[in-house]
Amino acid sequence: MLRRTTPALIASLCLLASTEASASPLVDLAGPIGGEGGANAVVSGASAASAYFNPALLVDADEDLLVGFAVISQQVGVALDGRDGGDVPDVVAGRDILGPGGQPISNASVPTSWLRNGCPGGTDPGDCPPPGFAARPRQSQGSGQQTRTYLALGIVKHVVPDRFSLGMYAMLPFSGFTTANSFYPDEREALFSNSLHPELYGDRLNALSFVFGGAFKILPTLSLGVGLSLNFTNSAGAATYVRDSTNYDTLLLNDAVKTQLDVAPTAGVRWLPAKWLRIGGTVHAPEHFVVDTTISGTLPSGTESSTSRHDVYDYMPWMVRFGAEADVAKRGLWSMTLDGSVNYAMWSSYLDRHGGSPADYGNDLAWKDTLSVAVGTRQHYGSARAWLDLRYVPSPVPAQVGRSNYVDNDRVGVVAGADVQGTVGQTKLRPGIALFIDRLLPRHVTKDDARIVDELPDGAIYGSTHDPVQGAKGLQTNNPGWPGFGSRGWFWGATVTLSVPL
Amino acid sequence: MPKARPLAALVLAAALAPSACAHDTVGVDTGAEAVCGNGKLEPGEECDVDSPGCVQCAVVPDWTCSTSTCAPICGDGVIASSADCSDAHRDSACDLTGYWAARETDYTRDSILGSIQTSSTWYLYHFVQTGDDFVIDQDIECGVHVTGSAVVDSTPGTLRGLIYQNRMDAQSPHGARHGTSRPASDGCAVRLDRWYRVRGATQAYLPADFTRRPPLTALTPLPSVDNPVTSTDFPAGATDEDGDGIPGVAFAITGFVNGIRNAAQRDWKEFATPAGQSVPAAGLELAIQGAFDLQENVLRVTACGGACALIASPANSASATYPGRLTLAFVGKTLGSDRVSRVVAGKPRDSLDADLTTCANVRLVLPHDGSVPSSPSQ
Repeated sequence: MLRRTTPALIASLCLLASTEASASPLVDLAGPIGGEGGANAVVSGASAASAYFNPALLVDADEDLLVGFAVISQQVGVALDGRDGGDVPDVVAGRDILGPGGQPISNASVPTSWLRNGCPGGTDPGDCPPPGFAARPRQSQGSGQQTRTYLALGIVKHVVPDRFSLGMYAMLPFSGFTTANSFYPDEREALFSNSLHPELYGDRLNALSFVFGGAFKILPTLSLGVGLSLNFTNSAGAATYVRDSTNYDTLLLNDAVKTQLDVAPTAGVRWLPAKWLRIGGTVHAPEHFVVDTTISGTLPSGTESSTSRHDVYDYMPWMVRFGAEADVAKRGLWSMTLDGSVNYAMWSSYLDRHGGSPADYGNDLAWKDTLSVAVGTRQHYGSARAWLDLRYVPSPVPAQVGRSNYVDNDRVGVVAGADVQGTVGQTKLRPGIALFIDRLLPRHVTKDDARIVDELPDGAIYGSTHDPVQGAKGLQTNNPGWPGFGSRGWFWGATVTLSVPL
Repeated sequence: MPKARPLAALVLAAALAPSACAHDTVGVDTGAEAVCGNGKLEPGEECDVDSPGCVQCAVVPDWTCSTSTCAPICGDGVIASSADCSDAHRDSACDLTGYWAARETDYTRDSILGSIQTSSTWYLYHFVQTGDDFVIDQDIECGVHVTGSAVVDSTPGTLRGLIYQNRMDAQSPHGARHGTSRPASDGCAVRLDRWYRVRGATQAYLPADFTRRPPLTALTPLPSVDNPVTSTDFPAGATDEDGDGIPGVAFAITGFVNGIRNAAQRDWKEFATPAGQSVPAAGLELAIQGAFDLQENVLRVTACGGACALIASPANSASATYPGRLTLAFVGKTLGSDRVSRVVAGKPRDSLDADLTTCANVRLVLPHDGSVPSSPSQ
């Protein structure tokens, strides 16, 4: 059996390593597919998924092949408050405005009317140069409602029975292996989608996810495990020759793309201090998927310039999980356990998709570390198992009263599932089903105008006449989150699994 | 198999569940402020019409605007751009004596994209003519505005610092600037002698004798630095008229790139109606073809983010293929008269505040015309 499964394991690793992968956001959000881990997988439900949630459990898992199908949906509604004035006037389009000290104002400002209605390309008064400026109504390109399907694969192999085990666990999205969408969390996003996006869902749910783990039982009551999540670091260089900045069809461009493999380790421990009590703990190292892009441009004048961008996707912070499971009742074929776990996540180190820290917007807007809790029970009757967990996952995102618009909510949810072992012919199979549903608790924030970028500063003057710009007094902003916004929603998933002994 | 049906049904139901159990919504906007430029007259706007008589949604002095159009007010003696006022007059056909709002239009080619930039430089002149000859008796310089691939403006400090520089009256070390205006076939032939100016560097960089008409390349090279992006030098010969502590005069650049460029500049300009052509006799607005050359050394670039190398690229004259022009709008003859007082706030050079007001009026009388000739030499 070892001869058959080890090459399969390696083949799977090679196959999955051939594209971008980042294990944690998807796996962490979806929870274990297969097994009875539920929301307490750090201590319960040894299975292939334990390679991520606590690799030390692998040594106790059944030696089998797991195939699962999952549907996961995020339904996060973002509600933007109506604007009471604050429009950036059309005069900024003329680029004829200086700040009160004669400094140029930001080129990132466009008239609010352009965002609402667009600007036609043409030669009539008020037209923009062809092809014009496309309308970007507020929140018209929100990304909070998505449903995706996944294939889950897992293998557990006891290389040295009851001593040393290996496991592999993967989730493969059916619709594209990896999506990485960046967006600015402040007024700059008005130039792109002009919308707010849930920060910790969206593209984070569309990543090929792969974890490899090993467990060692060093004492009858103590097991240690190590898991490795694959991460890829990409660097892309684009050397351009700009023949005509108004016609990018004439752009000459050479690419240079490089992808490097990186791994993020997980260390796990399982301890049995008593026959009726099991303790588990893990430490997850941070993970992220990096794209470094260097763009260098050469102009007909011979002027050369370049810039680099450091984008970070799927960031997962240091996490420490701890859980306990206790047998509390047993009668005949029936038994019951109670489970509880906590997860301390150091979200204060979070880096957003543009590699920025939320603390850049102010110390009070820095993300907070969070402590999640889950409690539940497992019921066994013969070869049938059922589990039910309740969980609370606080949001690391403070009230977004300033420039930034990170959208996230506290979650409360329930995880339930069941499986049963049966025999078909000579083969033992364990089909299972599981559901989870989380409520994203409603929240709303009203912006502090004093902390919003005034895109047309008070005292602005026309460069051509040095006259004051009418209407410059007060706040003018295209920050899509101004003057406030709310969010709420649901996050749910359903899985069916089948485990086949090796 | 029957056991599989509930599972499949459950998963199918989950997959097909309405995906819109949470919606994005946007509240109703209320209290939107007046938007200048949308063609609608809204509270707080004096006008919102595409017309030289309506600038930044304020009615230009001596114009009147309806909701759809603006027209110059005739008969009050003040000449507005595009005015057609039959009762405005000058004393004689080709005598230019009096106050004139002046706008010099020059074309340069930026060294980044090689595109044509249109530059307006404004002045207030008072001409005194004797016979066919006239001299500039009073003058102030009213700043620059450039449009094209980027927008360039003199900063407020630069406007103040240059308003009295490069004087052209009799107090200039080079004597007063001369010109001629004489009857021609069906109007007047006007010529304004070549004049050299320097900004951001001492007057020592000007030729001693303007009448010898030396090319700029024959003069002592302007102050320069090795790299305006990194330099902290204050090179010998540079000046700081705008008082920002940085050598050279400051220009704010917006549009294609953003930043502040401090530079030493030197140019000459001369104007003359081409042979066989003339301007209208007793005309109230005259356009005279010109030629110019320009040198610019960028001494420092700031507030330029990642575009400093672009900001540091100087512009070059395109005069050879795109001749410039001097546009003169007659303001009136007598200082203190109602007619002149509407533009000239006080005797030039007596009060900086009054002269800044005068400059603002001059720029309204002859607004920037950013158009570029459709083909060279038009």
